[in-house]
Amino acid sequence: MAGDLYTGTLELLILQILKEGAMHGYGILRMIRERTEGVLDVEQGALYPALHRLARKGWITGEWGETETGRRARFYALSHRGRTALVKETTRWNEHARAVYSVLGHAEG
Amino acid sequence: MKRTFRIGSARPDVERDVRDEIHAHLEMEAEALVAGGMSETEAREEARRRFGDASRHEAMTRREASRLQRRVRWTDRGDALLQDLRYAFRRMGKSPGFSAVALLSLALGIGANTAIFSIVNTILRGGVPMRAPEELVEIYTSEANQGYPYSVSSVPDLMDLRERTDLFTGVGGYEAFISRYETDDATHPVTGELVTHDLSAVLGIQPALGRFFLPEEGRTVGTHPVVVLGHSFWQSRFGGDPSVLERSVRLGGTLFTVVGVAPRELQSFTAPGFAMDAWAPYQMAGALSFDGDGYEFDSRGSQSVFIRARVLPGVTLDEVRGALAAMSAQHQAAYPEAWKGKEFNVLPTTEVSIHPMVDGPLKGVAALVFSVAALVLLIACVNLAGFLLARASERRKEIALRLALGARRSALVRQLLVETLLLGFLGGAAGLLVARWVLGVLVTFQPPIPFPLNLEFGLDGTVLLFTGLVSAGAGLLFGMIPALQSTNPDLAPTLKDEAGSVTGSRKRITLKNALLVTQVAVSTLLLLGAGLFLRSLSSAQAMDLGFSARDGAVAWVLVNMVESDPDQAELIIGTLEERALAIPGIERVATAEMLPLGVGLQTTAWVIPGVDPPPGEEFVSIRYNKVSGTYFEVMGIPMVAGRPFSPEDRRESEPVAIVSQAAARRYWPGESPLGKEIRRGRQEAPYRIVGVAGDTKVWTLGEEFQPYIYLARSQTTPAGAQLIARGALSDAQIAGQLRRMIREVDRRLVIMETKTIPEHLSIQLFPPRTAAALLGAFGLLALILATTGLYGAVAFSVSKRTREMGIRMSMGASAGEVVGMVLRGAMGPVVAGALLGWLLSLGLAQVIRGFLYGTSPVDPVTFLGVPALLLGVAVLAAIVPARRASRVNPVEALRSE
Repeated sequence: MAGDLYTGTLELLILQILKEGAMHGYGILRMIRERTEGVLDVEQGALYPALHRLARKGWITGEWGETETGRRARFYALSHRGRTALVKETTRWNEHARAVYSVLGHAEG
Repeated sequence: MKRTFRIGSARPDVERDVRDEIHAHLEMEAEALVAGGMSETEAREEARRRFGDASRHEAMTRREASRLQRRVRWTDRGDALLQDLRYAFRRMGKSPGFSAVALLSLALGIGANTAIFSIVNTILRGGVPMRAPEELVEIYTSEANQGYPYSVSSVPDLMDLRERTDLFTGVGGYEAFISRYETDDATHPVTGELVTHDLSAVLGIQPALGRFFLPEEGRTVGTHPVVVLGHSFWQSRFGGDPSVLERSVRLGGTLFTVVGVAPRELQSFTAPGFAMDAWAPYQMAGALSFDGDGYEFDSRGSQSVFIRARVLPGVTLDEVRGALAAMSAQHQAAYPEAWKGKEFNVLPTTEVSIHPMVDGPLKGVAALVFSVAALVLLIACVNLAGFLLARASERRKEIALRLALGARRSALVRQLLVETLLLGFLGGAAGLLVARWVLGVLVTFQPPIPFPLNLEFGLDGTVLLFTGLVSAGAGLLFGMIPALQSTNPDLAPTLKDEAGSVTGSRKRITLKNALLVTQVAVSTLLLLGAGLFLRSLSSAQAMDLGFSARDGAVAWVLVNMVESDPDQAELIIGTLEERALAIPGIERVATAEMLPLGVGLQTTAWVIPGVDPPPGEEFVSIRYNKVSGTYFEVMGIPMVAGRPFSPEDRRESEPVAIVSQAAARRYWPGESPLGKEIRRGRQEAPYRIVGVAGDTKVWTLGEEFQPYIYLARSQTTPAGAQLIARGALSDAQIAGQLRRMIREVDRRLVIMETKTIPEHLSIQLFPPRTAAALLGAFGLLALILATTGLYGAVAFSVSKRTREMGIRMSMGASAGEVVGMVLRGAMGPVVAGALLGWLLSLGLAQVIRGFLYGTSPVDPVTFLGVPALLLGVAVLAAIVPARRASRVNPVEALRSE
């Protein structure tokens, strides 16, 4: 594991990935790994509580289906509320990051 | 694909759900590891390790999951759709160039189809709003032996049918008339229809104002001069003033009381597309008809009435047909002469659009125009499919990854389709605007005929439904192939990073080529059609018509409406001739009853000694005209033998005739017809032939020269005259001067039309000109679309083959070789498409053979020129990106991947 993920960050990444289409847990994981070039590797099991937490909030919806290879898997899709939340959370994360940057003495951007 | 849905699981399932989900995860991870070369057992262990503390995660997940509330499935679905839609909108915004091209081509394609649908819908629906049309039937008098199965009927026959209350609740009759409408300062031709007083009641038509006719107005002949005005006539002449009901109008010289105004939707019973000015009861026919009091109410041999009847409830069509067949048999026995070979012919009104004899060809033309429009839309769709295919392959890696990870193909396809459907509907909306504009232009369009077309093409509910369906169809059509292609689960070549590979996917290239072949074939087809019509136009213009007049103007005056005495009529026409000659700048004047190559044709029966009439007929039927002595000189028709008519040919002198060369050849082969006598029908006095005139085309440009007979106007009873004038003035000036002069001579005279000779000659060229314009416009549109498609395809393939080009050039290939290679690749499908379109055109050209004048349906100029043009344009479209490929820097290209 190359880095730890804060709970809020993992949720943000999940929402961001689901924005592009429905996906099951394992796929989401693969895409996070792919996108971050392995820098942010989630402890895989931590994904599922996060997914179900997001589902409970109504930001994503889960639905059993079958993958093209014929495997049963639970697919998650971003809901309308989830999309709104994503925008809000992204803004918040950016502000947070900016704040941390400035404390650490780096120039913004 | 079998799929199980268990949304918002109930509590007992939660535990199993979470376990299953985690199990699936571990399996997939292990699978991936095995694929990476690990053994099965190692992989399972590694997957577990990576997952972390499974039991803790499972417990936490269960806790979250059990709090999950049950949600409504449809909200989810709606959410997903909304999400796709937003995504689609965003993607559109991200590639504005593509979106603009897509919307524009869809708008043009859908707009053209909508406009044509609206026109066809309006025309085939007919112009009359009727209540319960399924109860109505058309009753024709069939003269099968004459080749007219759907002829009009006589008034006595109509009256007999009106007695049949055992079959019909009502039987109405109608026919058209042309009359004159006099205002204080001018006389105008008007068109109207004579109707049985109850026609509106039979058909269930309500007036916009006032009433239709009363029973007493349909009882006695000539006693009730009442009229219902046409809606547009009321609008244009009375400004839509409701007080018109208290006014009178002078029609055909008689004062008629206005009792009502027809609804706007009622244009005409007899001639859909033309707005009638007035309706009057049959009993007023004498005052309105052309021939003064000559309307024949009592003759069974004089057929002029259209009959439409409402069938009694419970009576079937077969029963009506049976009863009328029996009635026909009775009539044949009772009136052996008038009813020889005739019988009633019944058709349901709903099966007739305009007239059974017209509907067939009209539907043929409609189908032809429709196919052309549909082809252009097809090209647009194919083009967009090509673009999407190119674009989709840029997203292919991402899509492939998602698919490999198990994203459902259906969801991806849905997402892509939502995008194209959105484009389809936006294109359709823009298409409606295009259609509205096209229809706006078309309603102002007039064929060269004396009466104005009054077309109303609306975008009503039916049309909107059509547009919606077409838009959805187009969206699906151009979206489905790329969506299915790019989500093809056959992933092996894609994951190997095809962009950098030298070969690329064979299958996709084939599909793209197929699209290109289709486009080029359709463009070729349309352009070849347009080319044939254009060639036909130019050869028609150079064609020998037999007369040389190409300038001047003509005024068509009706005299018999004002003066039924032939001598007086002749006097008026003579005066018009003199006055025309007195106008400065007009040097030559002639008259004819009809101009050759116009909209009318007259034939009459002749007895020619020594010539047998066709079997079963009493007379020889020959086309004829009544002309002035100056006609031949003014029209530029050579006199081959004898003399033209002279002022000495008067009513009281010996009747004379001039025959055409074709008549002379046919009826007096090997001898001169000069001095021979011919008789007209059963007339006693023979006509002596005094001259032979050169042949002219009379009816169509395509016809062979036919026998033709000229009579001296001064010896006949002309109903009117075409006053032909040529001189130093411009054609338009002559037309204006003629009109002004006729008004001065007698303002009661009805001028049907004035036009220049070139305008008159354009009547014949109207169909090929329209066809050339239509096919040309569509063909050009198709060519532009196909060229854009080709350019896009070549540019895309070049950009994908940069690496290959680099390799080739580093191996020593010259720029020219690279350009040649790209061109060869691009031109393959173009040549195939052109060839396909070319072969199809060879077949289809036979269909339009009848419309082509002096042009072979396999005209070599067209069939060589069009493909050459097309290939030239295609080379240009391909050479720009091809040259870009040749400028690739080999080192850069190889490093780029």
